[in-house]
Amino acid sequence: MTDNKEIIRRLKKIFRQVLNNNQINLTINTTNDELEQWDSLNHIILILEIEKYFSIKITAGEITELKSIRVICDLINKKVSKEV
Amino acid sequence: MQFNSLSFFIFLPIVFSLYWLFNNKQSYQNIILLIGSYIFYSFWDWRFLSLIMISTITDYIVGLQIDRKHKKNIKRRLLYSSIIINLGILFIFKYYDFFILSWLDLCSSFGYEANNKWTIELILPLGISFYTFQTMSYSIDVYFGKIKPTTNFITFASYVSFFPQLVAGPIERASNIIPQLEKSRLFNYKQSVEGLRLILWGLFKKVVIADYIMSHRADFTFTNYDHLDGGTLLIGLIYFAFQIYCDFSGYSDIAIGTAKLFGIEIISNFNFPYFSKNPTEFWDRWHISLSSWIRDYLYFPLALYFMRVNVGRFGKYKSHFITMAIMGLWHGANWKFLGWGIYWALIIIIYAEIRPYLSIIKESILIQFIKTLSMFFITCGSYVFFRSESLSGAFQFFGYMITKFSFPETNRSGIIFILPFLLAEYLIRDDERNPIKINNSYFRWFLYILGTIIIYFCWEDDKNIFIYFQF
Repeated sequence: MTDNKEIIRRLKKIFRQVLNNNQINLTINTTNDELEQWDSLNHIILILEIEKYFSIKITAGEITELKSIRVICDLINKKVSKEV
Repeated sequence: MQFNSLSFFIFLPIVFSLYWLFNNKQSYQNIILLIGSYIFYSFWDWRFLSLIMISTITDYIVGLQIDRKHKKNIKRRLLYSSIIINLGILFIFKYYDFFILSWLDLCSSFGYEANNKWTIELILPLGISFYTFQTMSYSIDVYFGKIKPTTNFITFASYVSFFPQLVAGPIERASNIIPQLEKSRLFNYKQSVEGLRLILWGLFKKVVIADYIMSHRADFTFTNYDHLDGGTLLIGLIYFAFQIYCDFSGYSDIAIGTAKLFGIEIISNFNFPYFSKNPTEFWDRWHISLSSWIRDYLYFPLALYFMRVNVGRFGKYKSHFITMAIMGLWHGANWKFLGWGIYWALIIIIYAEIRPYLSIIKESILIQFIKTLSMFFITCGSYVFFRSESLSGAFQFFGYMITKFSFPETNRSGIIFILPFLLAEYLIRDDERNPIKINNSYFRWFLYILGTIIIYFCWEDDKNIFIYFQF
């Protein structure tokens, strides 16, 4: 099992880079409603960056559910532990 | 049966009373909803009920079988069978003649004149684009394991045919409606009052603003566009923007309000779209149930595919073109809707490209106002395709609007109604599902009575059907 704090720290870097905003702070409770730039255009780019960094593959069915940091963390944990 | 018809206001209290006679009795409530919905649909054409039944039976069986089978390829085949049957019905009734005629046009442009022996000239069944998408999403969600299929056929059939949103949406998701239908519903006074307020506000938007104030002025513009000045065309376009918004969001409010009367909460379809500051925000606020359907089931899988194969800076935008073109054609079998889709794809792509530069500009009230106003006119541009009779007519309209631009000479009186309407929208913008949220009961009742009287005097028989009923 990967530590959520470590995942969020990495996600923050990805989000800041993709959304081009260094002010972004993520918590486990952050949702896409709270970040204006986290829209459907950027969602795909974020997901692909997450896939690349954590070496996981996210399906078309899963992508629609990833609307909060909590759900993303849960999915990463699930996928990474499967890989191990 | 139209929402803005006398027959609906006879039908609704009857079904409402029967339904709540069985307060807290789930199976009876669903049976009444199902029978009521089928009667509601039969007022247009009972023969097309058979199509709803085919879609219902198909996806009910497919959902159960996908859940029971273990092999991935069998599950996938079952899903394909649902998609083929639903899209097949949609294609035959909505697109077949269009493709045949387009093919014959193409042949004749190459000098080959073929006799038209293949068109079948079917009437478009009401609501077909809405309920086929709704049932397909059920099977797709079961396939991806997002929901468990329901074993109760009556519950599933009530979900597919739920009359408040059967003929023009909102296109519901099974994950929202089926759990509500699986529980008994207790009469909730507060929810019913909210429902009636939404119905009143929806009727006001439809009968007073869309039909009485805007539709004649917009019709005048689009009928006479070839001999009007550009300024008048622009004003006519603004009238149409408010006509279509009040028509469709009015319909959606009545649908949501009617569902509330039966203790069911259906999803919102509009969230003050003309206050959007960019195209992605607009599509999060306009016809939300369709745009989120298209986003989840078409755009995300396509974008994931194209971006994984790394098709370069502009290649990744293929998904936007395909998605918006299909969304355009969803509205109807006509090249103008394809033009509408391509227009929106281009707008979204331009926005995606310039967004990093826009973020440099510091936000202020003035900048926000400029962004909102610009977005409104960009949206109006898409309506040229939407409202014109044909694609070539749309380009002509654009041409006249630009080349013959001058101060509008005629048809200006409708503008004075737009500002108060926008102000009202601005005041209620925090909660689109509760438009008449006033604590003072005297003032609230004053608004109810005033609204009803205005609706009564603006009512123009049953002739004004909702624009989205044709899709």
